[in-house]
Amino acid sequence: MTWDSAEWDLGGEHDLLPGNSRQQERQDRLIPLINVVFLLLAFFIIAGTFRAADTLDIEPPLAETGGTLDFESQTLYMSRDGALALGNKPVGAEQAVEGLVSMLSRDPDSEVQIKADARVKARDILPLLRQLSDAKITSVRLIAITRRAAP
Amino acid sequence: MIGDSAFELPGRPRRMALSLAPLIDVTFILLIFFMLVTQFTRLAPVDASLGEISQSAPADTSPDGGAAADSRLQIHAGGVMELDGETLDGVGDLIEAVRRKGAVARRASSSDQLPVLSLEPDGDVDLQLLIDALTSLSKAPGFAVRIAMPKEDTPAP
Repeated sequence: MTWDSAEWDLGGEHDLLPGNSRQQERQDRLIPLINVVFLLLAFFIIAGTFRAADTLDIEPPLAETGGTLDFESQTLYMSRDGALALGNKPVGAEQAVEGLVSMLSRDPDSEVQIKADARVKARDILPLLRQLSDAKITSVRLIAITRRAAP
Repeated sequence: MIGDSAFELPGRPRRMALSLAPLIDVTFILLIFFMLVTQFTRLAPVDASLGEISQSAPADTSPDGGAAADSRLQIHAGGVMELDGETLDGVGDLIEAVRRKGAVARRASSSDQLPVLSLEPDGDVDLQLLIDALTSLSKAPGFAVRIAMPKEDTPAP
């Protein structure tokens, strides 16, 4: 079945009445608009992704990388000024490490994911990595925005 | 009493006229909602292993005597890099230099263990540059790449 007005009964039994006939005509002209709006709606639902808003204002680095994020694992956020948040809760460095260690003890298969701003300086992030390493976390995943490889 | 039904033909089923205006309202609201909340940026992880800053000289032998030559890549702000003292002109030169080093290291190594390449960024290096180096090194296998961290009491230079 198509959206052709001929196949849809939109009050067709009143066609003999001049007022309803005009209304029917107006409605028929709206059908292509509804088609387009539905197509746009379907596009946004299918092509986009939904993510919770980040607690901190973060612009992740760009990288030519693939792989998928582990949405089950908690993510550690680091803003440009070095502020930290674990999930949606602002934390200090020690709390962050404790939270990640307890996450790994609950679920050893989970990953330590860090979403840090691209402009974070090494002097801010290396001490955090140092603390993670001291807590026997020797592998982390740095989250980046995927960009296409240069041709 | 004469009602509405008096004007209807007998036996004809009664059908409600469907107004499209509410449908369009709701559809537009849904469309605006999805346009605002949908994100098109794709996020992906860059794997990074953590290690200690090597206190040994560049291209030193491994402690197990396997003769796997470890290397150090120092990253300076502005994109200048030094691979075991050899200055590289940014990420572009890095892949070629690491491939060369990796081939030499593999020939020298008697063990199956990959030689370690320590990334040692200066304190004012941006994370973007570190990520660029990590992704470039993943294209030139032959080393186990680790981000080297300073000791707790020694801040990054």
